[in-house]
Amino acid sequence: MTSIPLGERQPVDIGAIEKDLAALWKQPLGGDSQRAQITRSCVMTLIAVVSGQREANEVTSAIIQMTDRFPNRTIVIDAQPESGGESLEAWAQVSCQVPAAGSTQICCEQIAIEARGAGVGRVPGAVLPLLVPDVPVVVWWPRSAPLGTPLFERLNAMADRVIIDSALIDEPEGQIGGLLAKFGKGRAISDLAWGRLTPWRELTAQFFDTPSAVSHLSEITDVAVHYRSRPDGTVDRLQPLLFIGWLASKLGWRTAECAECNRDTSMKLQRPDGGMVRVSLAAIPGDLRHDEQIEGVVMHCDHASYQISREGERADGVIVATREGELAPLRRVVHLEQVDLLKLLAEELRQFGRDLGYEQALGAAAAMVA
Amino acid sequence: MTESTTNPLRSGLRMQRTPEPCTVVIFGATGDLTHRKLVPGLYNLYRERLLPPGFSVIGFARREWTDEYFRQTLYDDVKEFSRSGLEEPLWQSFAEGISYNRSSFDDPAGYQALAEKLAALDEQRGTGGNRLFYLATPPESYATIIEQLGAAGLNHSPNGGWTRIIIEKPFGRDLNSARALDTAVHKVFDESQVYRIDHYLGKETVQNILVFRFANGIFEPVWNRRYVDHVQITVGESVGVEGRGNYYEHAGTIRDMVQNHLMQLLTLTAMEPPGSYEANSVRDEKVKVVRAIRPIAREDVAKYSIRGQYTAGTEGGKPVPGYREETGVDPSSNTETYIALQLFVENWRWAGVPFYLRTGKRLPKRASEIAIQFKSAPLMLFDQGPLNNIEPNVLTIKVQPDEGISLKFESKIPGQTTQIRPVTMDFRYNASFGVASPEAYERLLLDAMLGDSTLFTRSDEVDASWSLITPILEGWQNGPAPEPYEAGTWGPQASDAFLESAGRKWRKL
Repeated sequence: MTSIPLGERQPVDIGAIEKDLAALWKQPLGGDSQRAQITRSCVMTLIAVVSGQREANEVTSAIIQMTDRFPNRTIVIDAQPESGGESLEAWAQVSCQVPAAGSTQICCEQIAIEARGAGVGRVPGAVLPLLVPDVPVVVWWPRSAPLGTPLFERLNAMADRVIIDSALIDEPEGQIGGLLAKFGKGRAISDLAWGRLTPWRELTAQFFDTPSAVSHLSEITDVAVHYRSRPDGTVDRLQPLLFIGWLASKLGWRTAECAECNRDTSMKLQRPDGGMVRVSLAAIPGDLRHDEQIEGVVMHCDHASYQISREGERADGVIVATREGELAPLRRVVHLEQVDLLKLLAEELRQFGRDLGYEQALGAAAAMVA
Repeated sequence: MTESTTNPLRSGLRMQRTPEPCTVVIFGATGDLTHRKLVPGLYNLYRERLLPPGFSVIGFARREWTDEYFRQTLYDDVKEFSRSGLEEPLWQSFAEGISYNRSSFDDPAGYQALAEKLAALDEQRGTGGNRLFYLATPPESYATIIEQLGAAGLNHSPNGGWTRIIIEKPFGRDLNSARALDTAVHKVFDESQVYRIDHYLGKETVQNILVFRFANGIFEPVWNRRYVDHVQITVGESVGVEGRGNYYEHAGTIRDMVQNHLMQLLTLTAMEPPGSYEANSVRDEKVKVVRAIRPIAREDVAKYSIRGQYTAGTEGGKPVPGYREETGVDPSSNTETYIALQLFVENWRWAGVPFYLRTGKRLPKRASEIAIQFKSAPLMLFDQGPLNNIEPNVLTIKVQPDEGISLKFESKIPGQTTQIRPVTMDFRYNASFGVASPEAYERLLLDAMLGDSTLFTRSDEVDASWSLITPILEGWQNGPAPEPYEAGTWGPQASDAFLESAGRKWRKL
């Protein structure tokens, strides 16, 4: 989808942005597009905090592409507290999506705020009056969130939902235990690292939708998760740990002592009936696809096994295989779309309220690495 | 709810709805509905990972087709009609579960072969005895197929599985035939197994009527006779009979549209809040509405309804023939292609509020909507001269093509004098959500596989609906011919006079 500006991006008086935006809406439609009837729509205020113009452009572009699904007022804050001086400047723009045939043209506002040095401290005060009344406020930290800084705390305090990507946090495995305390404080959290697991969790759950298969859940003895290492060869187990944490939280598995386990690649969990589950996490060297780490999941019970694995090099398909008791083994190709940033973000923007499943999985994962 | 809710891994998942492994058996597998809607819909569900492992389809029809040929024709049609297109590896995997069973509908051997195939699929693909039969045949075959399914023991599943049957509209062509079909169905299937489909109920905006009414607190207090002047329900089609002249001659607009689609819109608009959003609670309230509608006696049909039939005219500026010139239509046909009805729901909420229904073919545009027209303000403070022409508030639920909700109210025109003009506050689905809605059939097929019958019509609702419609049909049998209207216009002039006599007028769409 293409976007077209409704007037140029203009520097605005930070104290009078609303007035300047109103003037922008009165400008003629830009580009050589038709002067179609346009619709102004806004279902949320979306605040993104970035560092540097390049990232600001990337993020703004990504958000504009979602305008048709989530019309919003975007406030992109380029905050660089370490730079010298003290400045706070703003630009405003209205962009429209070129609609599909027969669709309505939706136009939204983008406000860019650039803060340098001590000017960063004035950002929350500038943002607060720009929140659109009566619609949710979502704060997105596209890069590593500056945990514990005043800007981080104050912007999050305005939010109904905070979107982070725990995979981008330095040494995420070590931070698992403290993430909720730092981000949560009772508000809704979206973690894009968790979002990447959604299709894997759905496919795993689907194995057990029949009454006969549900009973196998309490008999699982082995779970293996294959995941990609990072491009630089380092191993980050966040997503596989979250996946195992999800299973553990749903099935009541507890961390167990395991003398023979290699802490990096294996562990043992105890089922509610006292039985043991061997967990192995196997890193595969290679490039990540859209920061997706999981490459395959295998689960064994005494009389059944379940497997999800990538279909060769094909990026948008997996093979799902089931073997249960005396039934003939089943194998099928399932569509698994590439979960790029836009799709992840769009999925999270659809959500309201806290994701207790994530919080519980995070808690279980934290217990495993404690 | 289904057994799948006992799967603890489902709790908290964003995708909640996946049925148990099952086989869908489509009777009439070589027909248009199968190829344009049903299988493309199933393929889309598969692509969205909403179908379970082992999911299978058996086509059942008379033509001498093989499994391979059946799959090939479906491949071509999915490619053309699927909203997501076709991806080869996915199709190959999906098509592994598709087979064809050639038989006439009255041949017991064909059902025996079907039973054997189903048993084999239970073994090979783990479908667990779960079967969904879909009657996508002409209605004349329904009773035969149902009887044969019963004779072959296919009305109940082995191994604790479930068996359900979807029956396409029309369910009967009058009260007697509907009751006869119902008797035939209930000889073989329990009502809990029967899913009478009206694809209108699969449309997002139709479902949103309930959400709009019962998830918001501000509308219900004014949703009654005290504030509502009347309700207009319009389902307009710009197309003609599209080569289905033979069918239409036997159906007519009232059977084709009113008994099902328009009645569904009316019941959802007029029903009381259900005790819960559970299939029978919702359907109980819908039935109460139909039963509360004042019957129209045979001798009163001309007083409460207007029939029309299109003559030659235009569609989108192009000349089109009249109904009597259409293929398969009797040149002296008295079949209606337009009908307007005035109905009264006689209960405490709606007593005295007319519900005007109109639908027809070859109208100027395709448009479906429900318009709630409120009573005028009790005191016209601003009605001070020719500049002001105060109109009543209207809340419109647009079903198609531009799904949305709009509220019309009066506003002051900026200036030194108090001039008033109506304006609208519009909510458009595609402006707030911007995502393509799934096809109605996808939602309904999935619901049937999940055992959720909320959006399907229950036996007593069909009966109540035909009880209301049949006297109108009979009244018109001896009545005058339908009023002619030129193709591309909003129906016969008598239809306008119908409302004008009550001091009202049809909405301009």
